[in-house]
Amino acid sequence: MNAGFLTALFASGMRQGVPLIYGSVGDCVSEKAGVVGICIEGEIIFGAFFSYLFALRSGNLWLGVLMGAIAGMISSLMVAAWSIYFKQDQSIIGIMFNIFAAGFTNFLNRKIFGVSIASEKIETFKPIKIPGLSEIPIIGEVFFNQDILTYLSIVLAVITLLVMKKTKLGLQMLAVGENPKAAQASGVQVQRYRLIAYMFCGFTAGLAGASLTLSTVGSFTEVISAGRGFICLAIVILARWNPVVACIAGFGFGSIQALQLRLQIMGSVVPHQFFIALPYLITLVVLIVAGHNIRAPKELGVPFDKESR
Amino acid sequence: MKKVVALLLSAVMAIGMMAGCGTTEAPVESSVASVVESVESEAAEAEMKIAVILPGSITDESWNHTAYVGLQAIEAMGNYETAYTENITADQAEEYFRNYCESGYDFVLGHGAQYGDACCVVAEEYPEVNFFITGNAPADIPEEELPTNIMFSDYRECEGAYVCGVVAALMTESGKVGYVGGGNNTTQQSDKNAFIEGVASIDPAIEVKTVITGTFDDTALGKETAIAMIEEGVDVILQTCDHTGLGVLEACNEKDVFCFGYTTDQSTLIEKPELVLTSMLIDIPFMISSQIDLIKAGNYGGVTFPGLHDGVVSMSAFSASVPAEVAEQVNAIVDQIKAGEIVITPNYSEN
Repeated sequence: MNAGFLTALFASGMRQGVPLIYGSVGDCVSEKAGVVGICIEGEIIFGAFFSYLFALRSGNLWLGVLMGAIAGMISSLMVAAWSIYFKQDQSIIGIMFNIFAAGFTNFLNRKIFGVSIASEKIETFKPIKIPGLSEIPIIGEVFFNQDILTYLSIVLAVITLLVMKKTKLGLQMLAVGENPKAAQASGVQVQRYRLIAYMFCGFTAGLAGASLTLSTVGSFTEVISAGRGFICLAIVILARWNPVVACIAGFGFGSIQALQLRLQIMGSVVPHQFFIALPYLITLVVLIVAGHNIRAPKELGVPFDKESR
Repeated sequence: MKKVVALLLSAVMAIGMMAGCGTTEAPVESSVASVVESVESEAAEAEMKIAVILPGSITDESWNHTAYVGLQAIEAMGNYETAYTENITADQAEEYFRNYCESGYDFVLGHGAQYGDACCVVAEEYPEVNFFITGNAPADIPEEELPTNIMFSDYRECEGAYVCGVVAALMTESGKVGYVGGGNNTTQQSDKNAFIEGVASIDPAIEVKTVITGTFDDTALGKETAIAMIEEGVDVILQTCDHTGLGVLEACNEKDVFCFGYTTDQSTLIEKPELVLTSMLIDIPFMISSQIDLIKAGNYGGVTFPGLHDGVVSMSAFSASVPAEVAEQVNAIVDQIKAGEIVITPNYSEN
């Protein structure tokens, strides 16, 4: 295990972690306010599709990123309507939405791009070296020689944490998830705050999708999220609803995924199925070991009824 | 009571999700399409109703897409009514086979060896329907006991993988080549083993690095897999995993590493087509559409072994990167396989 191997491993872990970081940072906020983000998976697909579509048609990657995030946010409105205002079960709505998102983006993809044409590629974001910092051994290459969406994800996590811990808005969000009745009594409009928190989650999930198409793959393939939205949910619990810890956990999961690929490449007698399962296995073990006194926001997943007592 | 209903609902949703994670709207779409078609063709009663069950989505530019093209070829041939369903796992296959039989389809194709078991079960129940499996027959059923209304096309994809192995061994400079597979089925396993065999036939000292990603849909993971290989010094990669494989091609394009196309000429998919040394072409459209004549001739069923010798498997023209003497040597080996001088037996072992 030399430095070169570790550098490559963690750099790959960081790249694979970016969509997870975006997804889980948003979900931290939305769950703190009491709404579970089961539908992140679907919002990532929406974000991925629309960011690709707009980046390709306009030739501007940033417009793609913006439209991907907005698409994620708009699609989240649909779920928000049902789970916040019509007070339906958030998990069921979320799962239905995920199936809808996969099918609907496939439909649009085929209508717009057809099935037989080779998908058009876009120039993806290129890594930007941060002067000075990128010279540090290992760490420099891993954290300071990535593309702009990677840096943004880390900045977003830090800002989100600050807003949640240090501002009035953040505290009101917490109150809405912990004790909505008390929050309402103090004049906070519970449903409106939940809607804002949930739209933020859709926005970041859209960014997660944009990072898949615009910084990794360069094109859209059907069901491109491949289960990442569900990993985000586990990461949020692991991180105990702290965006910065979620950022680290996302990087950790990406690194384990990168490690399992490298273990397979090294070759061993262990069947490949074990390596494929490894990232999920480790997530489970960490949840069991470190999760004994995890306390979720008290009203997580419970629709708030203004009239109830 | 409310709890019970909620529990039941979530159970149904959970099952729906397992089926649905990958499942696209396409089943609905295609049934809509078939409704439209049946309306159109009601005036002139369709000669034969044909359905295909696919493991992935038709936009993968690869395995599933070629089957879709085959189905279109059939449609173009005459008065046939066609339908397809995407993203069907092996455990769902029995239900879908039965559904198509019940809805009056005369010819049902399962596009993948993993559907063999389910097809055998359903074929016994519907002796008047003809079936087709793109792959080998289940190993646990003796050949004489296979239902006679199924045609197994145990095509030798591994012959193509073997040739790719030969090309890879001749082209590598680092002495390390790679294989990226999608998952666990006999076709994938025999591809991997034949690739290794092909490399070893040129130089046993060349290392073959293999990764099974476990998914055919995760393009981003495919790209990271290839990057990990390239960082280990691999300079030629074969991928046989549809969407995941597109990520592998993307990484090869970015890092200027040689690769191969799978099932169709994939050199058109990347900016530097010269990096795609050759594509392992599988004429799935022909394999599927040629069955119609066999059915009409009345001698249907059994196991066939199409491969390089009859053109179902073939290699596309070599890219500009392949020197003439390498191309000559490879072509000689292809000819030997065609003539039966080199026999590649599918090896289904996992490791």
